[in-house]
Amino acid sequence: MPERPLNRRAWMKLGLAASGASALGLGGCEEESAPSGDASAAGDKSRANDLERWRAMKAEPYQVGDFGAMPGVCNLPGPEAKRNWPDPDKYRNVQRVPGMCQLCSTVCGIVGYVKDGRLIKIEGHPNDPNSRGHLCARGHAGLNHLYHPERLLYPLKRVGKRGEGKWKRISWDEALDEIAAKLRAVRESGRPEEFAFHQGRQRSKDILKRFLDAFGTKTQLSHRALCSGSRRAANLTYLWESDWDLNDVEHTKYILNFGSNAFEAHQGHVPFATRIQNGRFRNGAKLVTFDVRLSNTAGSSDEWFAPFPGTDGAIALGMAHAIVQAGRHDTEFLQQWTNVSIEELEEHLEPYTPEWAESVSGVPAADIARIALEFAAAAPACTTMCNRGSSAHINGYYNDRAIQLLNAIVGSVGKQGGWCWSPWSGLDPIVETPPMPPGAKTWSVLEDPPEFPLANVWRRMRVGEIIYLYLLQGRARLQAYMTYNLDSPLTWPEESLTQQVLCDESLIEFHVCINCFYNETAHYADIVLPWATYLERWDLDARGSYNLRPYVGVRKPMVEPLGEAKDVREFFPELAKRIGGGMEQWFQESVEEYMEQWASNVPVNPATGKGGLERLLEEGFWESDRQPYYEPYLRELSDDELSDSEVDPDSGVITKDGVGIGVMLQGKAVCGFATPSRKFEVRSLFVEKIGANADCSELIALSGVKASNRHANHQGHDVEIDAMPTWFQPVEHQRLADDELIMTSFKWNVHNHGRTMNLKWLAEIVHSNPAWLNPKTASAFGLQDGDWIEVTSYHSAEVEARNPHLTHGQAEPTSGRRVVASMRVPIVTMQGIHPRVIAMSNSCGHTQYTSVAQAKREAPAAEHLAGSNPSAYHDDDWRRNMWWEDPSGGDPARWRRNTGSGWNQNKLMPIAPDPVSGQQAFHDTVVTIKKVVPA
Amino acid sequence: MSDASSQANNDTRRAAHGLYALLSRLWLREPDQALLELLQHGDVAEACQAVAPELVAAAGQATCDDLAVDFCRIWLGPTDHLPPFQSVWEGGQFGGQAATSMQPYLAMSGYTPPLEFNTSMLDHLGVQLDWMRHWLEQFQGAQPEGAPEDFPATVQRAFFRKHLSWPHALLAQSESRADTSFYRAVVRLTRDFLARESRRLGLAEMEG
Ligand code: SF4
Repeated sequence: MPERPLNRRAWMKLGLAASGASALGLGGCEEESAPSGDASAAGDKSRANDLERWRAMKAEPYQVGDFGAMPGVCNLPGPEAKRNWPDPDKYRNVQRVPGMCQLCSTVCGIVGYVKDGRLIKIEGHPNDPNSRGHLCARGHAGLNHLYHPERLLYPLKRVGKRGEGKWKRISWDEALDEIAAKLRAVRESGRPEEFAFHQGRQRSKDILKRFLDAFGTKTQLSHRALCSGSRRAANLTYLWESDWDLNDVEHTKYILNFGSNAFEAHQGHVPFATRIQNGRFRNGAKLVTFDVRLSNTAGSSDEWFAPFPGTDGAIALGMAHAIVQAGRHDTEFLQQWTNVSIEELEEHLEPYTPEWAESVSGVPAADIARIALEFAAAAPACTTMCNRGSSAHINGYYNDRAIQLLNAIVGSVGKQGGWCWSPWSGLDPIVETPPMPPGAKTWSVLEDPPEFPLANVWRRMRVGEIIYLYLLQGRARLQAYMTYNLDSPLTWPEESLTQQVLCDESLIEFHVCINCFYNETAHYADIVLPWATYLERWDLDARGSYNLRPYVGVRKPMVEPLGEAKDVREFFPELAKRIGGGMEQWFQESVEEYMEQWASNVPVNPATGKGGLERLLEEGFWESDRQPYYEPYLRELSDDELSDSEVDPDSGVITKDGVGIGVMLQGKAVCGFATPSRKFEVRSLFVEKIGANADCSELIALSGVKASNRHANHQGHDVEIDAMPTWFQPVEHQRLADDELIMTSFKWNVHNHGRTMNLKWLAEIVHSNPAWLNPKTASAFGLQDGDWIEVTSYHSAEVEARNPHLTHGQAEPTSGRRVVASMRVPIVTMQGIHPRVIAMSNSCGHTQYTSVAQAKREAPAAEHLAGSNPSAYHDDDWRRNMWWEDPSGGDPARWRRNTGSGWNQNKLMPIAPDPVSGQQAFHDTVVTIKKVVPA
Repeated sequence: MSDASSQANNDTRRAAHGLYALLSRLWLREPDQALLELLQHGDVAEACQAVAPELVAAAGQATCDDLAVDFCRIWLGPTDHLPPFQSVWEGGQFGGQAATSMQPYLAMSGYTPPLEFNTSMLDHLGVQLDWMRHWLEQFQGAQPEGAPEDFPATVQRAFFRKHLSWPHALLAQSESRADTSFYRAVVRLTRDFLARESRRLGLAEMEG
């Protein structure tokens, strides 16, 4: 780019004219004046000020040039980096700041190394009792997240059509004014439920709830049903007290894993995976995995079996049958602590023989029986584990009930090394939020769809995957929609339906998106607000700990937020003030005052004399010294608890004021389980009744747990739920034709579903997702490794039969199957997958979310400016070194393996909720494939 | 130094100051009506006509809203944009060595950047241009007592070499990415000015 020849005089004239132009304003913040042209009094004064400044900073005045070595931020190998490595000064004078990772929901403790206002390294926090100083690859890549060059830095307002991608910067003031005006109008319309807040991963529950309750809407949507609804509903059916089993794998002797890829994808990821390995290598535990795919967990197991998809529950029932038949069950536990007799159980399990299980799963009956007896022999130090692999099915609720039943049969429930849980799913209750507004009382079909009976009775799990369809069907409307850390077009089933609804201003009138990056959801927003990363904001946080006792950790800003990014803690109070109408009264304190108040009950450490927030900021974490939550049902009730209580002579259940508090056990009053029968409820009358919309107030009172009857609007939506653990197979799986396969999804250890493909360290490791096929299957379809196929996916006949209101899409004239979509992808063949399965990972196929996520490269610059040092200007990664860019333009003939950004599997996935819990079935989709012949 | 040569030096410095002020304003924020007026009428417009006539013409045709959209698309995003930060072009992320290296220059000169440019973001091209404006304003050509010979110019040279000789690729790509002739002209003006400054400060010769 040659410089244009211009004469000096012309430049001088422009410069001199501009020098005095007041319309230019000033860039910097200080008061200044243009040079007068004469170095007189004003200039001398100004220089004198400078000399004072230099003295004050004790710097050498008039130092010029290189100010010494600057600390490097993650310099990757390159000529400069290599020369300076290792850098002995890199961590000199760093400040170590505690925090908690949030690149997934495991929230591992971290320590940030901050130097000169910059975060230069993240490592695990050794004081985190749950993660114990371990981090996964994503945790380390938090630096990419914080300093990503394509982060959102300013509020943006849409100027073109929605979805057109045309924006302009606006100030926070303008943004908040516009949002407040819209929300005020919704509030004053008398239909506050038409403001929906839709969150992805969130770890700031208190402030979100505070804002929404103060506003008066209960329409808080989540992705829980896309994640763990069935497992939670199954656990709640047995326990009521907790929806989350915390398998005591570190102390176990036997782990029976039904489809969980715990080494890569579990919500308890690092803390759980490290304990599994401790259990195996320190305690000699055996790990047996059933998974349709040889995941990294399956590959690290002692034994791996690939069952037919969705048959985990059948295998578990087959095992239960084998154990009971062999008399290897725990009679004492079953008699004392479950609400079925052994005879009843035997009778119930009778049809579920290992041979029957083999007939549906393909796993040999002999192996099912052998493993069942090995499992029983290890009792009570044995546990099942499961997660999305078994629960993200149309029959997921029943799969997980059948799996958890095994623990009751062998008596490992609540035992050391067994199948445990705790009531502390988050922060230790010792910390109390400053006073909260009363809960909102609205109802919305989006938040509480009446067709899915267990979605909201114990916990508000909701049925996230149906919301866009319901909006399209006109079952609800949204005047205002606020999304937060959400990437629904990528992570929700039926991408094109999601996009269609998000784009339609008659269905969603106003959309504000809060995010760190411009993603596929932000693309359909009207206003985008730049969110502070988890490294730049405050929270108290914790999750269900595998130590089976509660704890508290802190997240605090390690560095100032970049640009104008802000956290909701900072701008919700301002927004509430602008909306007015009393909302503002719930946002009185500054963020730090609020945090101090919230953490004030953290006890004083006698060694340091520090307590509350001060202690957390110094130590990062505080863990309660309670005993682990083993066999909590044996705890004897105190005299205090027993005073004025009554004992039911038939059941032995102890109540006080009509509320269950315990049960009599061999003459002793113990607390038992927090269920209506105070037993581990193998038979659940509650689910049977609640499915039928019967009044369950009495059962709820007996449990003593906060649960609710279904809303009056559920009347007419009765669903049959079996009181006993049973199993069914979706009809389309029963009649799977020879040319049909079942598509399942999976996740890699270096990614979460929708929020890490923008991080270059991780994207370089995994950036694409060809479909996995067994070589036998490939050969039957005339395919070879590397070939391209067209995949066509179909809606579930089972879902349509159970929930006809979900039926949509075109039916094929010949087969009658309803098509979801077709997509072209390449295949990789490998033995490690069931022959009737085709698998694709999620996380890939971004159409937004930075150039890294889309593997878009920038051409290297050929020239440099005079005076520059081109050897120092090596761009390590951002755009110019992206070796995996795919220049083929989707042409199979030109595509090279391991290039590109992959394909969004959710184009193909239909909306398919479990009819009981509402969990999305990500692993059941029937597809056909055909070879794409390159032109 | 003769009066005439001192006056010439002062003028050169003032002219450089004015151009840094104009360019930093153009890079830091979207134009407002006052800026567009300035570029169309009066001394600045007249002088600009000789150096960047397309900028004057574009200022007369464009609306603030259109320019705000183009500014956003080229440099703010939210997608497919070119963040005008030195660290991004050198190290692929915000907050690299270039940002840290700005800190001592800020401290030594007492310059306070616009609020949104915190520690990790000081290496924005607009801030760097603005720092030069500030420096020229501070010293106004005079030699402070006790300072090494030619101190203000030496600092300018050091700063320019470190923080204003990087943006060639950014400028080349911004020019081709701009939708409006206004921003194509802004980029060309910046490129031409930086090349002249490089020569004025004797860096081009050093390099050449
Ligand atoms: S498992 Fe990894 S991504 Fe998740 S919180 Fe822990 S370190 Fe972060």
